[in-house]
Amino acid sequence: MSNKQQNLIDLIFVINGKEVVIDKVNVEQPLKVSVEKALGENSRPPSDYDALYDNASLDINQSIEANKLPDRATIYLSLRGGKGGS
Amino acid sequence: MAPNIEPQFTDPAVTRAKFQNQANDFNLNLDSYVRRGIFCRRIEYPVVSLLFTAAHLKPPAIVFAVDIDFTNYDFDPPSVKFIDPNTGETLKAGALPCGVFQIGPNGPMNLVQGMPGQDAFLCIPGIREYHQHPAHSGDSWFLYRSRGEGALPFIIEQLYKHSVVAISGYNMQLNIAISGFQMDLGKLPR
Repeated sequence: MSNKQQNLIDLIFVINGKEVVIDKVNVEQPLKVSVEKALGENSRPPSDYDALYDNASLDINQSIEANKLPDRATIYLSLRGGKGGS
Repeated sequence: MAPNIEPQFTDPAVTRAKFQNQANDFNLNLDSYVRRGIFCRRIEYPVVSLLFTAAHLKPPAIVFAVDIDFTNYDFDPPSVKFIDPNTGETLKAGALPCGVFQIGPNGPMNLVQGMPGQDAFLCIPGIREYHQHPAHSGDSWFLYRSRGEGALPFIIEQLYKHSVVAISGYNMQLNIAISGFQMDLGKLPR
């Protein structure tokens, strides 16, 4: 039997190219909680960021389970760009 | 490589040091970028030249290449110009095989701008061409300068997630020339 509880997984965030591992995350938690931890205290709020897993956008207000993230999923966080064009 | 048309007016040592920080960060995370199909063509002060590929396509494809010019960084934001991946020549507006799109209230908007015959550029806050454009004179770079916009990872992520991520396959066109009819000779009467 694994040492890790089944509802706890590790998530790997890549922020500005750097990896940040958040371990033992409860899959029922909103993803936003892990995003906040990964970004750290002095960063801009999670709502300023886009989260991508496997080239698909994630809803950070949904739970990790609802976002269908597996153990050790690599999630790319990047600042939302301002309105451009025109 | 495209000629540098921006005159250097800040202390070159400061700009070079800030450029080197950006380049060092990129090199530290090179594997992470390469896994996603983002390759370095060249890093040579003041330009970082990158190649974006759609690594998830079979076979993978080069989507576009850019020169990111850090002249006067970070008093000025970097310039982003699209280039021919092979020759390094700057591409004109309309010459890109793929746009960089942002979904707005009226649907997708191409963030690659440029008047006909002029260089194509990326038009978002944090990019020199955006802040120098008369339409954005009220949106100063100094509102963004220390917030993350304009940094190399920011530019790379914007280019990637607004284009490469959305590519789901090749767009093909077939030109069919009709040269007659197929006939089932068995149906013909003797």
